[in-house]
Amino acid sequence: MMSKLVTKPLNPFWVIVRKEISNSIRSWKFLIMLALVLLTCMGSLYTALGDFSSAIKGGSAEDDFFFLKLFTHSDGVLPSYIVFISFLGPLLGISMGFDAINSEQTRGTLSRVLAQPIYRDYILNAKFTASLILLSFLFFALSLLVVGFGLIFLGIPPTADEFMRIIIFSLVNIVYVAFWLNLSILFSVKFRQTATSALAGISVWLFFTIFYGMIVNLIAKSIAPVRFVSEQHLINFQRFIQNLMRFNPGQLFDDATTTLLMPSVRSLGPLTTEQTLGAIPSPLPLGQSLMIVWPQVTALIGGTLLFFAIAYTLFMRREIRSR
Amino acid sequence: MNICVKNVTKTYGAQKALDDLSFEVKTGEILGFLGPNGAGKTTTMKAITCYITPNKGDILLGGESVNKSPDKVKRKIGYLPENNPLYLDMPVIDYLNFIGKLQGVSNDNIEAQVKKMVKICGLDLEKHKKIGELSKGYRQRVGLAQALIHDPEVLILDEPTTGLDPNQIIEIRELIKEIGKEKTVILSSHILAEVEATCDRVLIINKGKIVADGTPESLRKEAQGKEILRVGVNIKDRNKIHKALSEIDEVEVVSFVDGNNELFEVESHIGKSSAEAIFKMCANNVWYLTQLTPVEKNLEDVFRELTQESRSISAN
Repeated sequence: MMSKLVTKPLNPFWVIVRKEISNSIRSWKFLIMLALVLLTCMGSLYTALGDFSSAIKGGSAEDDFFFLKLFTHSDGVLPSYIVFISFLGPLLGISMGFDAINSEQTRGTLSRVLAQPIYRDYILNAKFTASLILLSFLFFALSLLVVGFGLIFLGIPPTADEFMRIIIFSLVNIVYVAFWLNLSILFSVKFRQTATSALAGISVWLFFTIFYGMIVNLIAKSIAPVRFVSEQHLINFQRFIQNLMRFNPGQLFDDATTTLLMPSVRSLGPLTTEQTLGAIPSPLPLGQSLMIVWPQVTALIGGTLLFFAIAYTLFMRREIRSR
Repeated sequence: MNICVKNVTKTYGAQKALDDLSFEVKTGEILGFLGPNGAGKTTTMKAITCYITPNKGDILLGGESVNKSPDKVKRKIGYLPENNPLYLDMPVIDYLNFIGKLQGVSNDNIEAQVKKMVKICGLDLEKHKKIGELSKGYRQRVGLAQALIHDPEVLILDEPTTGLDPNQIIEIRELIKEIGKEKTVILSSHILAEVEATCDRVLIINKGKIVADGTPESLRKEAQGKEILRVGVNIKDRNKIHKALSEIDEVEVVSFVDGNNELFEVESHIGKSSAEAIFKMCANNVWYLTQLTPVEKNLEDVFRELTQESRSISAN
């Protein structure tokens, strides 16, 4: 006779998520990337704290935001925390996703899991969810570590505005790395060889990190307006170049995080003298900062969803052979 | 639980892997699936386990259709795929736990089921090791354990003894026979002796079609056709013996056996036996009859004949 106290089995989706999290935590790949990110971020924090007195000299609106300075200040020896995340975040995302599907297919375990009574898309969704959960824990833990060290060093707690900015900054970090994670998962679905998908992910990252800026500069120089043009023409040209730059996910991330961590940033585009007339030179409240960065964050989320949709379609339509 | 495969066709592009395949497996039967490489054995098994969808036809497991209720069907099947892919970096217990949960075994039962499978498959000493550290034989046992963890009514084993040494083959074979007492089993293999020793019934498939279906004994008899006797006579003049044998009414063909001057192969006419006539002939001529044995076809002979000529036999 069936006992009424028999507990329901766990949803297979969460079974796979738990297994993926467990595998990732135990994998050398993740541990190496984790150590790299931890070391670099702690290193930048250490150097920022070492030179903190020059960061809070006084006289500017931003100097009141001590805790935000921990993320943005650099003594020139090591880049700041925010720059390290901008550089290493994509690598972390790519390393977590490049072998998500193709390694299982090569080993033959994909067919084994699909033979169980689960929906096919559980596998792809669970891989993404597991990596996202790990990344969320990582970035929140990092941010709280920085806040903790700041508390010890400064002796004063962060304001509510600062704390909320740091939390939202952590969320933007997660969205940014999730963008690269999804791109690498797409490559892992598309390419059977893990080396090919890793190379594809790194190539895209290199292109945007190094070459895209050069290409946009070349375009800018070639279409730069001549000396005597109207103000509107100049503004349009600037906006065009800026919009071109915004195809680079790194640029979107930089725009969003700079605005969040530097409350005195009032605009991400060119401003005319008329627009600044009468403006009070004070830091923006959190809500207004969020309004400025909302397009950037939306674009990052949109890109993430687009890559996921393509990967999903390719994965669901594929005929999977055992090897 | 019985399995009914009805007019199943599966094509990969222009190639037809299964061609209007139909057969039934009764509850509690151990069915051996034979065929050369590329015949369609693995494709058939994948279709039964809902891993691939047939282009035409249907497969019913206990009345449930693989096309309409694949989830229900998958819960009733334990599948050991070809090459037995496993997560090599997972410990045995963790892996069985994982598969058990995917199969829907409740949290209360999972521990007990894992312990039971470890015991049945002889994995007690290895249960805490990573699967990658196990020998091939033990990995195969892990594969069997994961196929049985949810106590399925049907077991589909695709070449379960590939790559094992003779001792391990015998162990796995005994295990399958023990399990097969309570479950419906479909087993595919290239090792014909294993199929003969383990299975109640044999299905030979070639180019996506069934070419033979019956018990190993009935297939041998049916393929035998005419009586063939190996006759040994200790006389130096081979041609004299050949002529004498050819003159027997029941005999159709007499041929020499290469490498042995005393031996002949005598094929009788259909439905006739020439053993008595040969014995009497030797006795009358006072010839020393050293051998008079029937040449029986074994399953390998049946397999080779059928898969090379695309003849078909049904001994049901």
